[in-house]
Parts: sequence; structure tokens; C-alpha cells
Amino acid sequence: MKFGFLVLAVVVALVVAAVLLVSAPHESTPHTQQPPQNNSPPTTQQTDKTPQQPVEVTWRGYIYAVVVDFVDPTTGRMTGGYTKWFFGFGNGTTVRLDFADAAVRLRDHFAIYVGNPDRPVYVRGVWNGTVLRALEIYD
Amino acid sequence: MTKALFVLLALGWLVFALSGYVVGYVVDYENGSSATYYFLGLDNGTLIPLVEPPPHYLVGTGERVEAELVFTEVGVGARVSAPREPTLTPALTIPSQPVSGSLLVTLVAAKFADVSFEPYNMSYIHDLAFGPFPSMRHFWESASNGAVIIRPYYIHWDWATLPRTQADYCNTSFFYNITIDVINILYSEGIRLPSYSYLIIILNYRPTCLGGAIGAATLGFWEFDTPYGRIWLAVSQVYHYTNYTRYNPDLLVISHEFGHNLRLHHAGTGADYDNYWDVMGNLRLWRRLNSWFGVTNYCVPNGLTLPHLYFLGWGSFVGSGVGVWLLGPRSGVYIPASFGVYTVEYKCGGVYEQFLDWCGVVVHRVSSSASGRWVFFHTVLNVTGAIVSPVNFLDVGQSAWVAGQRVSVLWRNSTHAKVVVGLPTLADVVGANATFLVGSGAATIDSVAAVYARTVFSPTATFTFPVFHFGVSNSRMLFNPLFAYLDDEQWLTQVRYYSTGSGWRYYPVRYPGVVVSVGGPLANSLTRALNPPNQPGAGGLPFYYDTAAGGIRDARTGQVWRSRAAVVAVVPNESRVYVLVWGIDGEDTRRAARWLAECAPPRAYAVVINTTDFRVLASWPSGFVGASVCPGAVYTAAAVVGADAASIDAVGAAMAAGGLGLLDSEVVFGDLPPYVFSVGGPLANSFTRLYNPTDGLGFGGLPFYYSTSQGGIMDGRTGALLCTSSCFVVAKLIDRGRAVVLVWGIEGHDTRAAAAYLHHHGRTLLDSRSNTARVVRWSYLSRDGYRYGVDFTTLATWP
Repeated sequence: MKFGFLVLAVVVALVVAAVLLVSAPHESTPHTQQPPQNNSPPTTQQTDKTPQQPVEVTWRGYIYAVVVDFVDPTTGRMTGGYTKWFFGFGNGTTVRLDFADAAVRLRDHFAIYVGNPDRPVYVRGVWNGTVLRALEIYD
Repeated sequence: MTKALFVLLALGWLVFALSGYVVGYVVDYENGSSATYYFLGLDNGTLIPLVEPPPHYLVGTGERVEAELVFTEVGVGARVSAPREPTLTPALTIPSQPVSGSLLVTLVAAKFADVSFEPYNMSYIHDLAFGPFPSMRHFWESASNGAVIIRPYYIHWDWATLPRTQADYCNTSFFYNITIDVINILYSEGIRLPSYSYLIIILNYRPTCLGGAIGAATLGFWEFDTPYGRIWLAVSQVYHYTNYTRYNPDLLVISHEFGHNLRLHHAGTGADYDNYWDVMGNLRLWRRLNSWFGVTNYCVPNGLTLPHLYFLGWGSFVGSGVGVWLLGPRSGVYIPASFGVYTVEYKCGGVYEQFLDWCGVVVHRVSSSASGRWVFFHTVLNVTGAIVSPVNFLDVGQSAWVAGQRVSVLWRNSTHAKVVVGLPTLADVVGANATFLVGSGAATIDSVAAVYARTVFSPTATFTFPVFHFGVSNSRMLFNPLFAYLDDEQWLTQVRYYSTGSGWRYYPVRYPGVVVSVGGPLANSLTRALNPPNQPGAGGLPFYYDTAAGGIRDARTGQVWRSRAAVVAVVPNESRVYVLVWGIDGEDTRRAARWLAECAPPRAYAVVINTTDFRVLASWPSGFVGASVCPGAVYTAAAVVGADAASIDAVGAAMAAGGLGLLDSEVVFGDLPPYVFSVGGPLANSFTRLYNPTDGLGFGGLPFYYSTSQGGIMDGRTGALLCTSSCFVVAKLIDRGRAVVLVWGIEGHDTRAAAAYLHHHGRTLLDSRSNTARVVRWSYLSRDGYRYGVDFTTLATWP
């Protein structure tokens, strides 16, 4: 019997706490859920800038890539290619992107985001004025 | 009381356990600092502050998370207790981003400010991109099966001059600046490019810093600020890298770059380009064609493999994992693996696939990890080197391990292939493309069993095509392949090529097809290797010949059958699939082959059958013992072989026909089917001797006969000795409503060659409504010890 009262007391306390929570003033939801942007994006086109003090940033934008293909002109055999990755802000500004060490937490396959204006991503990384070294990519 | 307690506890759990969404916002301050606030949003709109930052990938995504209430000094908060890691299902690990409808393409030829050379005229450039077959447009429209239409939006019908030199473009971002200069040139001429369209720039050379570059392209779209606003373009740049493309249009490069624009990346093995089967693999197919640039060599795109077809919404999967699959164009299966999936598909029929040197089943690894490349050609035959994708495919009868599963190809035609994932059963191999093998020293009765076996299978020869690469030999070579052999022969080969990096090598493949090995382990060395006496066979096959007991033993139970019994088994081993057919004696072997021909085999890997009533005595795995289901067979042909002939004669019989396999001593004319192939010469086969005796004219005046004095084939019309070696007689004689086809040579190999001739070139002879005959000389085609074909020359015909 004593045990029953104890349980009842705990439950009452929980219900009171829950009521307090629900009746507390609501925080207003921001219009857009922006990630923290603790550094302004660069404004110049492309990337060849003087390196600056590295700073951690979180930017929203797009993943771009250019693939360059090579050939041995004598044999006509393709001999290898490379891919340069970029991050674009959607305002005409693009910067070099290095995501070799990034944790990629995208809901879909990475290939779907590349060069896709419909699939922006957030990149948290270190910007040194030349290259954005991604630590985390998510959507 | 107990019930009330449970209710209360459940209530308490509900209060503590929360479910909702992670949201957050940032406050930026004038001093440059900022603060971020995260909340758990409940379904009723309540926001509960999170007491610690959540994983970034959950913020603002709308993904439901589990959380728990936490009491802190400053009040009640929430902590995400079960952050959901992105879960990747197999379907998600093969990305899909369908592309369909009209694709607007602008085509511009541009030359650097310091290079006046114009390697092509605009007609050439136009046709390269938009012309009839073969062109970039034709390739992608064909690959998409009409899902996309490439529409020329604007063609700059003259060479545009870029404002900068080759070197200038090396000072900055070459790709972006060439593109933006072209956009500005077009704008100056009143052309505004639509957003989400495609721009192809054909350049007269390349930036000096890009030695060896052949092309470059964006993966998908890229944003550009233009005088008329921000637009998204997918851009290809094709560089002039050699003058021979002025005479031999390079379709591959422009099609490949456009593939990048469709977000496809390279699809090689370790190397980017080592994929013979895909335009994104970039191995060259120069083919001499008569098209928009006249008769010349065009470098045609290689086709598109399934991971890319699926990505673009142009292909599909018929299933996944273990099963028997019929793969057709644009469809395949996938096998889940820890890092992603493997895809299995058949490449053969197709507008561009027809230019591949072979047809085959190819495997790709699709990676779910984030990186530039996500499709990798998967090697299945362990041949390594710089370019190995032309070697590492599965033809019929070949088998490989993929993601812990056996993948075997049993049958194919020009559009479809039957592929088994998992171990193939006897029921699966029915109808397979096959090669037949008998012991060279076996009794004829053993060998003639192969004639029955052939009724169950399709000869492989029709669908294979050995090729010597131009780097290995001078040309591809036509040939007339054999598909019935002795166990001690050096088989004919299919030749594939690969590169170690220092030159092309060829990779001979033992003749494709499921190998049907007829005859027991004492008579046939292949059967002996796979199913040796006194021990279980390859892959754990439990049935073997016990020499001490003088019968077939089941290793699992110890049971022995000493007479009227035979083994029929499917044995995948290394890279091939074998079917073993053997009995305790020759007649049992023939009956076992007849069981295959007339009964429906069970879904077992192996059985022991009673050769009298066809009852299944034991099966592996167990569960199939009992009467066989035998619908029977209506034989339209028979092959007759001399009872004392050499085994090679009987091998020829399997080349000639599938049907009843008879010894000459067994023939009852009234019981014969409409077509009777009498295989072997008059000295070895008494049935042949009836129609074509030595030293004189044969049935109906047949003028060709064997002269015992001359040791060769004579023409009775002229008295001429036609040949004494490497030649044979084939004849069709109409006798009492039956067609008797004589197939014999000077010796056994000549007889088999005669059967091969009938298979490949005998149609007009077999269709003849009156008596007819030919004498033909033949020879093996061989290279470096490998026989790859048979050549024929007709010496005489009758009438």
C-alpha cells in the first residue's frame, strides 16, 4: 500500500512537470533555420586568394566539380583524369573545396548533390581564404 | 493493483520519452560573435531547449528523433537520446537522379587568341555533336532509350575568338574563364543562354598548362554570373589534342564529357578509365563505318552500364541476391555488400554495344561512400594490369565469386542472359549453352551419350567470337568453332586482351559454355579431376565411384549402388560451371544422358539415378528422392556411330546432332527418326558402309568414296584422287522418306571437322530435296599454340 502511494506521488510530480513545460512560453521558430554562419562568405570569384588566418565556418551552398580528362596523343589511350571540387554559394561565388577528411552526413547518395541546384548542403569546415576544408557536410 | 502500476509506469515513461525534431537559430552580434540555440520541437509546437548541441546533420532536417528530459540547474531541457544515423538501404546505395525530356545544348567552336588554327569546319563540328549515327546526340538519345531529346539551342556557326591566349588561361581558373568568355561572346552577339542548359565548347587547342588534356566538364550544373543574371549551366570543353581526329571523328570524347554533365563520373577499376563497357570508362573503340564523314574510322562510345543507366532513370533491377535471373538490356540484379552493392548486368545488344568485341556479363561495385567516383568496374577473373576490363567478364559457362555469392552465366543470346546468383542446380542448367567433352579412350557408347546430352543444351559456338586485338594481331578473325572435344585436347579458345601497362597481352579463355563432361572418372580425365574415385568431389559433391566396392557411393550415408546407376551433377569449380554425366558402365552413362534429355531434373546440385526406371536414388542436397518426372522427348534426329569406332568419331556425332545416340549395330531402319546422321567412315561404321561402300559408287550414284588402295577420297566421275588427308565427305541421301546424312573423314578428326562443317555451313546441303554431296578440305586456324577456328575449302560437289 505504501509502495502504491510512492508511485502515485512520483507520477503526480512528473505530470506537474510536464504541465509546466507545456504551459511555458513558446520560443518563436525562426523563419528559416539557418546554420550558424560565423564567417562571411568570400565575395570574389573563384579561389586564388592570399591565405588568411584559418577560421571555422558553416556555409550553405552547392557542391560543384570539374573533371579534366587526359590522353596519350600517340596511342590515343586515355591516361588519367583529375577532379577539382568547389563549393558555390549560389550567388556566383565559388571556392575550392576539400572534403577528403569530412564526415559526410547526407540523406542521399553524395553523387546526387554534385552539380545539383536543387540539393543545397551545409558545409562546416575551415576556411583559409583559399580552400574550404570541410569537416562535416550535411543537409 | 498490478495493472494500475503498469499503467502508471507507462505514463511516466511517456512523460520522459519525447519525440520531435531538432531546430535551431543563430543570433549574430555587432562585435562579430554569435550564439546558436537549439531546440527539440514537439508536434504541438512546443520548443524545449536542448542542453547540449545536437549532431549537425539533424538540425532543421525534419527527421524525427528520440529525446529525453533532463533536469538542470537552470530548468528542464532535452537531450537527443537516439540520433538517427543516416540509414542506407541497398536502394539508397545505388543513387538515382533521373534525367528526361529535352536537353537544350549550345555548341560553340572557340579558338585561343594566339592560335589561329581551325582544325575542323563547322559542318564537322555540328555532325560530331548533333549529326546522325554516330554522334553525341545519337549516343545519348539511344542510351536513354528516348527518355531524353538532345535539342540544339544555339550553334555558333563559325569559330569564335577568345579574348585571351592559351597561357592566359593558366593564370587563373582555366575552365571557368574559358566558359565565361564564351558566355560573354555569345551575349555580345545577342545570345542569352537559358539556365539549366548545356554548353559544349570545341576548342582549337588547350591551355598551355593542360598538356595532354583531351577534355573537361562539369559534373552536373555550375552557377555563372552573366551580364543577364545568374544562370546554371553544365559545360563541356573538348580540346584539340591530335590531328588524326580531323579524319577520324572522336565521338567518344564529346560523349564522355557530356556524360560528366549528366553527373556521371569515371567508371574504371582502380584506374579512372579502365572500363571497356561504358562511355565513362573511355577505352577506345575505333570502328570503320560509312556515315556522315564518309567511310572512315569513328571512335564510337562504348555504351552505358547499369549503375549509370539506373542513376539516370534509364535502367532497372529485376531483383537482388540469390536467384535465377534473366537479364536483358537496361536491367540487372544487385548483390548487397557492406560498403554498397555489386551490380550484375549483361552487355551485348545495343546500338553502340554492338561494337564491343565480346558479349558478356559484367560486374560493377557501387560505393555508398562519399567521393567523386562511385562506380567501379569489378574484376572477376583475377587478371591484373593497367587495363583489364576487356578480360574480366563472364561468358556462358563461366562463374565467379561476387560478394560471397557464386555468379554463373548459363545461357545467352544477343539480348538476354540467364544468370544464377548462388549455386546453380540441375534444373537451372537445362538449356544452357554448352561444350561437350568425352574421354579420348572411352568406349564409343560413352561418347555417343553426348548426343543425348546435346538435346538438353545449346551449343555455345553460335554466340561466341574470338578476337585478336589490333595490338596483338592484325585483325579480328572469323572462325568456325567446335564445341565437342576429347579430354586430352588443347581446346579452342576465346581470346580477350588486356594491358599490363607496357603493351597489349592476350588472355586465352578455354572455350565458353557449360562443360558437359560425359563418362566416368576412369574414362574421362576431366570427370576424374572434378569427381575422383574414392573421395568426395569438387565443392563437396558427395557421390563418387568407389573402386573397392565397384559402384557409386554416397559419402554422407555410405550407401553403395553397384549396377544400373549413374551420377548427374552440376559442379561450379574455379571460374567455370561443369555438368558431370557418368554411370557405372557405358550404357549407364548413355541412360543418364537420356534421363537429362527426357526428364525434368530437380532443383538439386547432384543426383544418383536408377538407369532402368530413372528413379532418383539419392540427391544432394537431400529431399529429391523418388520417381522422376519424365515427359519424354520426340526425337527428330539420330546419330549413328560405329560400335568399335574411336571416341573421336562419337565426339563428331555430338557436333552433328542432338537426339538419339545409336551404335551401328542397334539401327532398325523403320524406327529411325526423319534425320539420321551416320558419323564415321565406311571402315568404322557399318551404317555408313551401307550407303557409301569403299572402292565404288554409293547410294543413288554418290560418286565420292574411300579408296582402300589409294588411301584417300576418290571422285568416281573422273577417277581423280581428291585428297588423302585433312578432308571429308558430307552427303545427304534420301532413302525411304528419311534423310540419311553421311559425315565421315579420312580419320577421326576429319570426321569431327565434317560435323563442324555441317553445323556452320551445311544448311544448303541439309535443305536439299535431292541427293547431294561435297568433299571438303579443312585445317585448324591457330596462333601461338591456341586453336581458334577451322577453315574449309570445297574440293568437289555432287551433282
